[in-house]
Amino acid sequence: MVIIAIRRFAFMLAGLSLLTGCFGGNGTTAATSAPTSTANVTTVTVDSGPSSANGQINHAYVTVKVCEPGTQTCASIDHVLLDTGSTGLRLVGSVLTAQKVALPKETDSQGQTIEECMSFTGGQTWGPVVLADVYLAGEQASKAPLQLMDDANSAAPAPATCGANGTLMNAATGFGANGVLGVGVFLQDCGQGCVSNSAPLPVYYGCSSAGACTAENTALALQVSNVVAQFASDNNGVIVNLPNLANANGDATVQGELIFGLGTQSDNMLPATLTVLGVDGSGNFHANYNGSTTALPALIDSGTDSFAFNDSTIAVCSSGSFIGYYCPTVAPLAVSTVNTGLGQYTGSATVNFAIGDPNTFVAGATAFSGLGGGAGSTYFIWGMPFFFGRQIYVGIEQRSGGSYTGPFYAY
Amino acid sequence: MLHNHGMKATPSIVALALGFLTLGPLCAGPAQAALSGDTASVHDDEIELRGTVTAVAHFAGFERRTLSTDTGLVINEFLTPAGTVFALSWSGPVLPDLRALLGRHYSTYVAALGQFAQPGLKRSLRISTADFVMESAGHLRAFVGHAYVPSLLPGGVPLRDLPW
Repeated sequence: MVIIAIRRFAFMLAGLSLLTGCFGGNGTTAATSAPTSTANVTTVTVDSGPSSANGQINHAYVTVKVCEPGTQTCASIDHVLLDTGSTGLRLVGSVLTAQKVALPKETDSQGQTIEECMSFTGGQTWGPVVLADVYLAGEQASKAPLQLMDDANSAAPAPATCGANGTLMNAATGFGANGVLGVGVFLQDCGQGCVSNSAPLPVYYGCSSAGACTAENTALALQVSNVVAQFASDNNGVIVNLPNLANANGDATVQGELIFGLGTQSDNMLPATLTVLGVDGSGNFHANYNGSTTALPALIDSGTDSFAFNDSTIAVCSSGSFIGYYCPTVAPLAVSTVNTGLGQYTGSATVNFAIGDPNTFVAGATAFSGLGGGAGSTYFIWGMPFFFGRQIYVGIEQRSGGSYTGPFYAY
Repeated sequence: MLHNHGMKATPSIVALALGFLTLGPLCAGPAQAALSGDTASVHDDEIELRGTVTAVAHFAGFERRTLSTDTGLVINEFLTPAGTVFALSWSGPVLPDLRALLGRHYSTYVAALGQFAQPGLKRSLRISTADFVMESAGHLRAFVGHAYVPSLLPGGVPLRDLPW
């Protein structure tokens, strides 16, 4: 898909009205506790990914518009991964540069640029924290701190300790997206742990003009933050709404919606019957898989492409394009997991689900409802297959939505 | 019961594979005893790790040393009676320096990452080769993982019994 620069306000307005036209984003008839009239729905698309990184599966993408603060110098970035498992916006630097948008860098009290080493399992993104006005549907976050994934090595080089956990994955190729929009349960990606630790965590760095970077504590306001929480309204959480798949063996593409706000408009009210799972200070609830007595840390994560857990009794695909995922000898394989909330909402609920056989998957499809991962045994992760046919609610910490206060996941 | 008097009373622990000594970062980050490292490369971790050995537990056939760093990482090292690190586990708000921790197995890990059918952002992964198994999962604020070398597992120690 081609990235289209939107540089004129008129174009932007046209795009917004198109979105609300598609989804009827704002309602005016239902009673709400704090009604707003802001368009609060943006499209989510599952497809094969950006042109530079084709071949993705179970990746949910949104388009994000960012502007140099206070200006109409903007870029519209397609194929930004929608991620309920992280917090904050990260964009591939060269994609911004191609649209001639240069975002100002944050600096620390000594005038050094603030750069971040964001760790994911299996790799890191590295680059400066920059400021942008971020637009999603009719919502705006002004001067929001986000991470520029410095694939062009335009800023200070990553210190030796960043990239020691796999590989740097700043480029769209390899990352599988032009960026990631983290709409998780937190206000900031790192939070208090990066503010005042006696030994600064290897996350935020102050970088001298000579390019020498040292890990340093960083105030909450300077950390890469949840852009949803910075909206003027509809800022207490999100709903990810993806339809059931038409084909158990894979759909070519899927469209759904990302709705901003919980209980703020007629389109984001919380239903009376809802499974609400509180999370701990790390963002996890607990999951017990298939009767196991081991409670694993768990999350509902659109950034993971599969039901990601370890079960040594399920065969792992050894050939084809799904090596490493589960290839059960009898499929679909019925399994179950009990979710138990932590923190404020500690209820339990059982989820029955099924693992499909990738050998039967349709070639060229990008959305699969039964994909299970040969993942680690230290977590249980409800990835994208869990989202198909569900409304997933993410409540941001310290914010109330309906009768609930975040942080929580719900469905 | 394992008695490894040479290690029990000292905060230093079984240290680095020689490969790491030449590759290591400039002490900007922690260094730990590398997987497959042995007692011949004992190293003072209190300096490089900026952490301390907070517990030593003895089990039938092996010993577990627990290190806690001031960045909030907890790292367990599992030692054979001969003092070889045959397994590791970690948990904490950030990932440990896996290049240091995995020693000569780090290249195996990176090579395996490159062979995933679906590269990119991951929250959980499992790598299993003939001589190296690793499970790593989590996100900023809560990473949990472990790794081991099957050929180094002490005889009679079932993997499932390891107190990760």
